Amino acid sequence: MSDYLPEQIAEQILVRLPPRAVVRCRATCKRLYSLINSPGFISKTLSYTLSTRKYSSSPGFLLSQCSIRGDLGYNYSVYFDPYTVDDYTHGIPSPFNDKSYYYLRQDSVHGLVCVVQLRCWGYFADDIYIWNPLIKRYIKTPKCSLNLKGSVRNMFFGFGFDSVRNDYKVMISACSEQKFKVQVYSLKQGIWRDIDGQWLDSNLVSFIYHPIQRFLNGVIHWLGTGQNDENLIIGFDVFHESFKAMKFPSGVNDSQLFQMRETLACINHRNFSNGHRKYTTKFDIWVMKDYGVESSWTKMHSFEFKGLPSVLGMKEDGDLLMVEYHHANMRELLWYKPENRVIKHTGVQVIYCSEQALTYTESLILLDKESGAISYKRHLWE
Amino acid sequence: MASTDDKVILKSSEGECFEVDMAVASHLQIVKSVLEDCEGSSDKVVSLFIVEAKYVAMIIEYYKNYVELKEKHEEGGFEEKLKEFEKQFLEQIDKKELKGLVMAVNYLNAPALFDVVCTAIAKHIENKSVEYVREYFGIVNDFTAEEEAQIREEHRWAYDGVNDD
Repeated sequence: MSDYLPEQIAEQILVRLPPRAVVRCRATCKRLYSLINSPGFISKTLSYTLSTRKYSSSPGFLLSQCSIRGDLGYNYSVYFDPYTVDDYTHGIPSPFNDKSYYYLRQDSVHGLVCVVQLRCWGYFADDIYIWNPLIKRYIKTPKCSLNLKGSVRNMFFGFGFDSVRNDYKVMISACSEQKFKVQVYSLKQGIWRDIDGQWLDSNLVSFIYHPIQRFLNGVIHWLGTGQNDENLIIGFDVFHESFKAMKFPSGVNDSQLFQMRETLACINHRNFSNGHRKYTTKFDIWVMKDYGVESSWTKMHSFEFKGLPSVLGMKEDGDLLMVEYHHANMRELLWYKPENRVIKHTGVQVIYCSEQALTYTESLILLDKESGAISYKRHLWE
Repeated sequence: MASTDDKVILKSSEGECFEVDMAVASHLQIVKSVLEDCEGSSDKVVSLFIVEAKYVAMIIEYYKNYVELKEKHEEGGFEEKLKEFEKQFLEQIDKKELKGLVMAVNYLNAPALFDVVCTAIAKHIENKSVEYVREYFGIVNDFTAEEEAQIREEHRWAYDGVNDD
């Protein structure tokens, strides 16, 4: 059994392991430690994860919720399937936990979450981070130098992957003196650059506060409001660094935006009162069958729930993570399969949780020394 | 009936001979290149010096089924059928043999089976302790106790819930 396995074979086996098991294998010996920490290996594991992943098995959701133990503040949990719940804090406080700030987070891209730190609601971003919650490392971007005067409104930001340049980018924008100012940060270059915000000036009126992004097909998507007060999907192409808009199905307003397989889906919900404190909520799921083709919006499912549940997230196969309000302080997470109307209660109770769960796939990005990421547990032995 | 021209003989490290259809043997890149090198020669025996007979038999079994299923399900459904067979195939192989098999397949350069065996080993060690992985990979720990403790401390959570058997 103790025959030595050549490194080239060991690498091929490690690439096929889930990221968390790879992290553990770093403790086996110096040779594998260096191999696993190399940028080449990290990108190989990512390509493997992305190429083999089935819609049904990943990604999961990252949900922030107030900790029952007050000392940790925000707690992060990951939900990959109906019955696996993983406390992602692992007893280590997240670095984005300073009670004098607010933190906004975006959907993860390749296991990285972009976090914006705010001094106060309505203020512009104080600091912006790119964070890998699995390996507990982050990068703090340099100060963003948007030229903002007077009061700031409509701040929004997004995070995406430029597959042509193999680079991760943060886009942040805010409106001051009636003009949208936009900057883009490249992880590779480590700098912020101004880009033209004219398209936003002529197409966009406002955003709902902190719209959650959906990143697919190289484009970051948010929900916005257009010049005629209509809901629009605003897209930012991460490679071309340009904006575009897409329309919702007609008559649909006040929706949540999701990714379903390789395209967008939206969920529209309406509440009905049927007597004293008795409610019914109706949901419609619309799918843009051909991505980018507005005429292809199709209503796929309609269903009803008693009470006032809300949808936290949608898996790529269309399964929904929902939260049900039993009474004032008791909320339970459940999974719902619209195709066959099956409900799975998780038994997981939450006190308070974020309005939407962030989609999440585990990765090892930022594990290499070259990335310059900061580990918030302890410094490396090297 | 295929002529003997379509057959090749694979010789294991112990000298045991296996007669195999070319359609099967051609999935082993090393056999293909050896035969190309001695084209025209009537001697179609390829010596696989470092591969034990039991692994030669496993590899032949895998590719025989691979070729048959591909022929039978040309119209579609090949991948599902292959997956079914792979599951059954792996059930007969113990964990120690998996390791011998991956070395043999790597030597013979047979990509499809290499992927299957690597994935099976990954699945096997997914929840195993560091000590188990060292033993399985034949690794000598060259960290000092202090260095190892520091690496473990950085991602302490990754070492929970593992087992040794």
